[in-house]
Amino acid sequence: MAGPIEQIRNVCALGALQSVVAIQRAIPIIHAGPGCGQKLWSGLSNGNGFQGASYVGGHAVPCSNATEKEVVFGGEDKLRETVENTLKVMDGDLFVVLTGCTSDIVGDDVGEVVRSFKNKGTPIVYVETGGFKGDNYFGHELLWEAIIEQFLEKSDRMEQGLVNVWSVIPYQDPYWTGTLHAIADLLRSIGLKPNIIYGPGEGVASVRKIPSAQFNLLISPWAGLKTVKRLEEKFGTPFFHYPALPIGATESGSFLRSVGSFAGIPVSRVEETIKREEERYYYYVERSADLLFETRFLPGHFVTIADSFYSLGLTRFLINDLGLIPEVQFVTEAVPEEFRPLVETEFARFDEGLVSPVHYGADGATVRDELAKHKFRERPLILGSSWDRVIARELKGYPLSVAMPVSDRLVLSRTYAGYDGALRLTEDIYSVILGSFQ
Amino acid sequence: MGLKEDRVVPGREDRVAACMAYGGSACSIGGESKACLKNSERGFSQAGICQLLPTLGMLLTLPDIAVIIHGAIGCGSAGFGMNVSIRLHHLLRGNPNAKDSLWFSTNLDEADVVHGGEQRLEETILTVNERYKPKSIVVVQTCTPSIIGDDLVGVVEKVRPLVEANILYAHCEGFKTKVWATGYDVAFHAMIHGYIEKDKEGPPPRKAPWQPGQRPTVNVINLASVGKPDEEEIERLLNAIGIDVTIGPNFADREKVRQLTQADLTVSICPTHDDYLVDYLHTEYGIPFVLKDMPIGLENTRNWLLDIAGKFGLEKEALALIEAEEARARTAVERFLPVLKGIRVFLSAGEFRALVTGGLFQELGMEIVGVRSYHHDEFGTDFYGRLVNGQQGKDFPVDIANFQPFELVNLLQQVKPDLFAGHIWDNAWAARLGYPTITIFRIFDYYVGYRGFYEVAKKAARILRNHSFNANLSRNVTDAYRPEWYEQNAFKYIKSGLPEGLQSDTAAV
Ligand code: SF4
Ligand code: SF4
Repeated sequence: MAGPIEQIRNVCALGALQSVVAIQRAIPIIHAGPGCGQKLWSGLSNGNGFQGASYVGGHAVPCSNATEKEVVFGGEDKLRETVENTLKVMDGDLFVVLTGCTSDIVGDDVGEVVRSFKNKGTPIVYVETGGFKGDNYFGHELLWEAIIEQFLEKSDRMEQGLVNVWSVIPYQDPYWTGTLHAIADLLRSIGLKPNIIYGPGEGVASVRKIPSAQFNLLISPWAGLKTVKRLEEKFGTPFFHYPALPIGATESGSFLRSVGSFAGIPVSRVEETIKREEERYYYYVERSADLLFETRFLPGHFVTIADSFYSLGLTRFLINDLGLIPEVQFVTEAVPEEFRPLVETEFARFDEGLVSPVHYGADGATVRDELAKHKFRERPLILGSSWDRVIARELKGYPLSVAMPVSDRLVLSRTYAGYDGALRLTEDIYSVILGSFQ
Repeated sequence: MGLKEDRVVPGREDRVAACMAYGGSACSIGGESKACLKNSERGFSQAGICQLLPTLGMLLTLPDIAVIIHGAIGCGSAGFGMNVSIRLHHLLRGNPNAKDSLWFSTNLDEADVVHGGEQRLEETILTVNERYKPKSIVVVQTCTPSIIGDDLVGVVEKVRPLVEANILYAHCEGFKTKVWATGYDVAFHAMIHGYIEKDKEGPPPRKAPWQPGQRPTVNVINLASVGKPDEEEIERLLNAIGIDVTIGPNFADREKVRQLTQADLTVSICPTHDDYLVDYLHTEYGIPFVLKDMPIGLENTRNWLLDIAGKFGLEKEALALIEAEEARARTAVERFLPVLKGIRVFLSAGEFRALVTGGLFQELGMEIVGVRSYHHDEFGTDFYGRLVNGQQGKDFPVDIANFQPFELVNLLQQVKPDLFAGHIWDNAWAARLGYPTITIFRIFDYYVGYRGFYEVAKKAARILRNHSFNANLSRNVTDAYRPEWYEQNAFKYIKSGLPEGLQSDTAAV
């Protein structure tokens, strides 16, 4: 059973509407109360790095704006009218109807309405994302289940080297655009052809290409596993699962080696790339050494308060590359029971002395109670959300906002992934430290 | 019906026959029947907002509160963003150490939808009270628990005797009203019940009426969209004619909210926003009121001040002040007038705000070429006519829309204004089309009174000097509407509220 949550750090299943917004020229149609869209958008986008409305986000999203009439008598007619007119007004290549709580409780037969358009050749799918059913990690997978079942078609030809990239969840991760871009660059650097579905690029065409990929690449502790497994079942596309977001040289190298070997890329090619990247990377790292070690501006232990993507990815980088010591890690999403062992194993992959306690499904109350039990002798580094700036201040810590909600930074193309991402992260961490007394 | 008796606040479509969908012109809107306006709707719509947003926007301003959103997790998603904007308000008020609100969601899931969420809510209120001891607890009812039949008031009244905090409850299910401005009423209702009617000390006694010779104290009802600079301007003007001011109930604590019952007059700065509270103070405490104007622009400020002064025999003082201030303001804006002269402005905001700001622009020599209002009610009706008269009878299109950017962009491309003055989330759509934009409110800036007159003029002149950002944007981004849409009537999807068979074409741009 779920319980009350203090300071939410993710939203409800209907939040998947932002994953649709992230696909260029895909248009969400919300079948829900009048406020759901705005709440979710302001939580995931505007209140999270000021990511903006984009092509068809924010108040531009078609919505049935359910009223008492639709709740009492059902909303199917209203939905039918909304879809019909959406097609006349909005310019898109794929339409996705997403329902909210009102429709799911009332029991509207949304499938029936949507099929009537589909039968006429409209590229349209539906997904029932009533918020009470789960969070947006869950909703995001429901969305893909719907697209796979209702939109994707088998391809008669496999395109060698084409890799579908599944990773961070758009908008939930304020850095998603830059991060997917960085992953694409890593893949390209060893000769693969990344198919990036979200952000600037090919939009719905990249969705259509999914079945013809050589393999699906999932970079995620657990979210997305359902999707890649479903793709394997349906189209026979194998998948490669890399659990940690690669941040810094250690992880990026290990990522390139393992994905390269899975894809059948010659070892020499991979090693050459890694060598070239590392030479460049360590050129900059070397420059940072004087600050880090001569001036002794080292933070104390570090704390991460983020979803499993970042909690794990950042922890790996900070321990393996930056040489910091973890104090405690908070994973903010409720990792489903079935995936928990998987995530736990990944967090345990450090030398014994460096394994720190991990709290799953942590909310504001968990963070506050838990941190109260720790004694910080030096100022800790706290990588969390903007909520956590308050406790960071109380602990005299160094806060850096990396997870939803991020309200103290404008995020455009910044990312912490890959080689350059790790340099950005190092810059950001030390800018916080240096800025704290000037 | 009244604030004291209502358990649940009635939707504004019922209380004041508010209208949410209309496409026509400034000349035509006054002639429409109320029933027809109230019942009109859209065959196509985009995501609006629900009453939960303005309700929270106001209740979050109260100091030292915990907010419990009763519902599934998504409805509380705006939480952090709202905290940040309230923090900004506090900073501007010289209150940098104000505590953030505590935020909770009862996080109802599938099982709760079957079994009900009352127990979860009860436990949450008790735990929050026990652990955090906030001064007030705000409990907000959303669509999901409402549909499954959770009795919010029942739960609140059960625990009220058990907790020290004042409990404020707000029924603001989005599906219950199309008019999200109902949320203002819901917030007033929550404050009045939480701090006055159901307060442990009960309602304060009535104060004796004002007697000539006494220095009067008036309530000025503030808005979350009116920043500290504007409150200062209002206070400055009223103090200058010998009136003391209590500003609330936003940013007020329990004591200050109770103090509102002890004034000699209640003054509104936005009738559409305030009438529910004004009516309560009048009915229960016999406090007379001024509920007609918004002090934006010279003429409106003049009328507003004279109305208030008239209640206390202070007309002479008011006139003297007005003459002096107007003269100063006119001289101050002189240097902007050449740039502003003849500029064609499109306005978008809450109806009242849009219309009075239109008056201000006309005073600067500009012309109004379109208004998009979030909803329409009788407080605005006269002001449309006034704007038309203010520009030699030149009519302009009017769109009543709860956001609906598809109508807005279509209208803009027909009207092609020189300047767009819009509410948050409107300006970006206009900027994408390349139009220079200014915010119709922002809590850092002055908009009301004489300072406001000057500052708005300055801001408009500033953006007209350089709007390269907007121009570049429009050259490089496409928008989400089919090209055919721009050839259609912007009001094509508005269905008039007339019964079938009597439908006329309301769309007369
Ligand atoms: S929880 Fe339900 S009602 Fe609330 S925003 Fe999500 S879908 Fe809408
Ligand atoms: S419409 Fe209802 S469900 Fe949607 S955000 Fe508003 S209160 Fe929540």
